[in-house]
Amino acid sequence: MNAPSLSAQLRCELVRRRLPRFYVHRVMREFDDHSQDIVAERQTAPELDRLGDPRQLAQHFATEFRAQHFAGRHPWLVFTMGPVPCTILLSALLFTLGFWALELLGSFQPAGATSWSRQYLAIVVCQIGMIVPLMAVTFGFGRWAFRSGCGARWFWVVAVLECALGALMHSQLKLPTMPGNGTLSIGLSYPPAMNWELVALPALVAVGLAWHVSRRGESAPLAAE
Amino acid sequence: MSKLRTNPDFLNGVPELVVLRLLARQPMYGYQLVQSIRLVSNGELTFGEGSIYPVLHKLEAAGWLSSKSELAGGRSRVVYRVTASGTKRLAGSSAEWQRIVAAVERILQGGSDECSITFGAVAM
Repeated sequence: MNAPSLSAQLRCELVRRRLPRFYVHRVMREFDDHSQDIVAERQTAPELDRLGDPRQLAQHFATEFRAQHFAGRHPWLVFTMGPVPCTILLSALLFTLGFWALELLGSFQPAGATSWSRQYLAIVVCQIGMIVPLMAVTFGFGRWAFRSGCGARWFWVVAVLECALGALMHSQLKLPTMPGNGTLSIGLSYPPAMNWELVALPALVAVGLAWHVSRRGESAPLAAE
Repeated sequence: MSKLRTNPDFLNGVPELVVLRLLARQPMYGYQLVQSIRLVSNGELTFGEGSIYPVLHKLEAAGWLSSKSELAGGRSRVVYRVTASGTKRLAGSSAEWQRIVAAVERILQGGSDECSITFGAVAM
């Protein structure tokens, strides 16, 4: 069996095992260099038994690669128990920072300014605090699933979790009429609250974006490099 | 309490020890390293040459090796070298290996006599 066939087999096996493109490229570069050295040494194509079986090699590469990453060693922990708490924590952080910024802005407004602008900004902060964490966590964990070698299966687990969270999340903002009597409540509701699509759809957008960015990298030809 | 292991460390650590030792002498790329292993071991250690790369990648991920593209033999190749923490790891692994070898040697040379004395005492 000649070197190009071995190389092509190994590349197929590595891609089949959902290893990220940058790692497949690295492995193939070193494997091809090694094959060329054997050809130069023996003036003939390297035999299968000298380089090793491509299937076993690919499995060895996949096992070692996943063992190097926490997500590769514990995909269940990372991709089922990670996204929801991260979304909630990020939401809490954005709400805190957003309303703190609003308070600062309020301090510098002229005495005669209307309050409609602050009301509008408060609603914007509320929406940002709901939507941005969903999108960021969906995109981040989705990409992580590919880059840690876990593959599309865990990407879709994250996508489903985040879209479900987006559909069930709701917030209620009561603007203050006097200092200190405003309230913001965030929670989950079933059946979904009205306008649930306003929150779930951005999560879907993030899913599509993460998929496109990850798969575009995965599907580009390796030989070009 | 020590953790029971299915594969003792000295079996899992042999490729790591060999690779670290040879790369500590001089930085090498994969093919060169495989040839060195074959040469220095007088052909006793043989394996599928492609399997050297998962070992190298694992050691690099652990911080014991570093890699860099360099010109070698007229071509650009990925050359591996041992890091400072790799040198420490090598020293520890070598000491552990010597300890294991000495223990096995004791068993092979003196084990059967000690066992017969022990069982003889029990039988009586």
